[in-house]
Amino acid sequence: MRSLIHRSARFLALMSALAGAIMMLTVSADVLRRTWTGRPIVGASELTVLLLVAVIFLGLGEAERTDTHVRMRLLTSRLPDRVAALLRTVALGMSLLILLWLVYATGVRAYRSYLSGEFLFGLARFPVWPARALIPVGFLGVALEVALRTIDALRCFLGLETVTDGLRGWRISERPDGPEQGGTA
Amino acid sequence: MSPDVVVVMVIALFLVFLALEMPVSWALATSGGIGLISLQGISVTQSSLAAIPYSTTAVFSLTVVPMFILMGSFALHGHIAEQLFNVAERTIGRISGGLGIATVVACAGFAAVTGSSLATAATVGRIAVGEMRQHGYQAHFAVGIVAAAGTLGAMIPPSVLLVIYGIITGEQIGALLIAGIIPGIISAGFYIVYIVVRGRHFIEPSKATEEKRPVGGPLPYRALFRAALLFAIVIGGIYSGVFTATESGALGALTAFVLMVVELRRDGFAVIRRRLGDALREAASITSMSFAILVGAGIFTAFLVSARVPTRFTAWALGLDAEPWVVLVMILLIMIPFGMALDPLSILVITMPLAYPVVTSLGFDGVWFGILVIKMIELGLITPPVGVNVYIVAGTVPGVTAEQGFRGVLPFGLVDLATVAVFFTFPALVLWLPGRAGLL
Repeated sequence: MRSLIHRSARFLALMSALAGAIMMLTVSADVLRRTWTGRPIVGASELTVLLLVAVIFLGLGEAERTDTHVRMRLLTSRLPDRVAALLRTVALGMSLLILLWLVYATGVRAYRSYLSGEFLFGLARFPVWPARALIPVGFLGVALEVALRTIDALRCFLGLETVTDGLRGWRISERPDGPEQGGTA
Repeated sequence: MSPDVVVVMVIALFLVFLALEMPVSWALATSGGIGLISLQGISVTQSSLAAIPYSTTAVFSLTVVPMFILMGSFALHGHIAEQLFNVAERTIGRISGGLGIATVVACAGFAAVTGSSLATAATVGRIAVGEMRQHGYQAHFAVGIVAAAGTLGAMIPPSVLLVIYGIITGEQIGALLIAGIIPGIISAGFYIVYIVVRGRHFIEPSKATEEKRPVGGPLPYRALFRAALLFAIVIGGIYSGVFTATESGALGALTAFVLMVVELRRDGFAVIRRRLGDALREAASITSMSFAILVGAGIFTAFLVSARVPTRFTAWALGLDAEPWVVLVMILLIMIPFGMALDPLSILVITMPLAYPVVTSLGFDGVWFGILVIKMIELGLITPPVGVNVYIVAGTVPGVTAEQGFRGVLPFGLVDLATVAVFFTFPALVLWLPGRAGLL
């Protein structure tokens, strides 16, 4: 199951990366065509928005798997292992709840969008539901990764294993002292 | 429960969640969601959760963020940073403190093709710190130089932070990016002045002489051409009005990809394919993480708006019996403690919905304020305990601790404060260039 979830995250991330590449090519082609012929590519802007949503949400699970999401380890890195694991379990559990709620809320919204035939009106009539449908998929991907981490943290608290955050080879004693991972700034 | 109590409770919950190692994005979403339930009930909260992820992301102008990230990623895998440092080292490195100056120049050059401070510090740091250590630079000084100069990545365009400031506040993204050029160059200049003036105290003379030894081999001047080309496409396009920021970002990313392929052509197709995959995956992951914070902040802001916090905060700040510039200075100084606990993007999305209306209502220019804010937030990247740049750079050098890094970066933090004071006193330094481009 663990392997399946990780593989799913990697697959979604691959789709996210491909969407990024296609977005780059679409916007470039649109601007080059407009510069040379004075006419934009019909539907390019609307397609770009769909691709943007794909890049953002389909990459969420992989960002969690590779620990890219920004989190503070100031407190937990200074606590005894099992106390830190307990706190981590609570935080991960709360994250899981909000993520599952987001899966449900955005899923229902996407379904309604499909039923009502919601469209973006630009140069082309572009359906909105595919972009909306990608959002719950992305949230589900990250929710499953968070669920794995929650189980790991709980097992660590119960003394069943020492690996706490789902990252192979990362043990509490080896965790970097720094308070963060990832970042864009 | 009164809205005031709920606001205090939700802010406290947010801080608790952060301390429990919850990612900033989900901490914002969870605490904001709890606040919305308390004030509006479950049904309204569910509607907000259903709408916000789409409404905060499905916006065409936001495309510029992944494009800038992708461009930086291609530039990174195309070895531009290493080659820029190589050129700078061998042209400037022979003078006293030259390696430190070369490091600042390389950081400024790489900042012109990437939108990230972390990428700048990590990439240049990997090469420069070891080189400086070999030539007698004390560890804390070497780490301090790279960690501080790495912050240029967020000021010199393309800058992801400036773009996100523009998205949050509604200021024109092109104007913000152009406005970052002169402050970025001045910041680099101030770092160089400090290295020239104080550097000899931190460099062992016996090893420093080795800096003057002649070095053979051809210089990779093509790195200068590649960096200049990318900068010209992105910034030249925006400045001349030929392209929008989004279009410039996409063309910049495409050009960076072509340049990466040309650079790696001798390594074979397999290497190019692997590098391409790595660059795309890394860019997608960082984009997802950044937008997750924006989505979380969207939920948190929806709660703040429902509690009328921005309106009341603005009214309170405008009612203060103080000169407008004093209020502005207070807002800027508040960024320092924020910087001690949070990453720059989170600070931006949390503080700007409250601070920006106050500052513009007081009559200050939003673009100028944006540059000051980014400079102050960047201080957080080198301020303990969450000085990310320092951890990253110190982590690249065996035997160098983060504490040493923080010691070394402290004077550069003071230099940064002096730089902010200059921009504060002379707004024209920030606003002249975007004004010339007709963007203000």
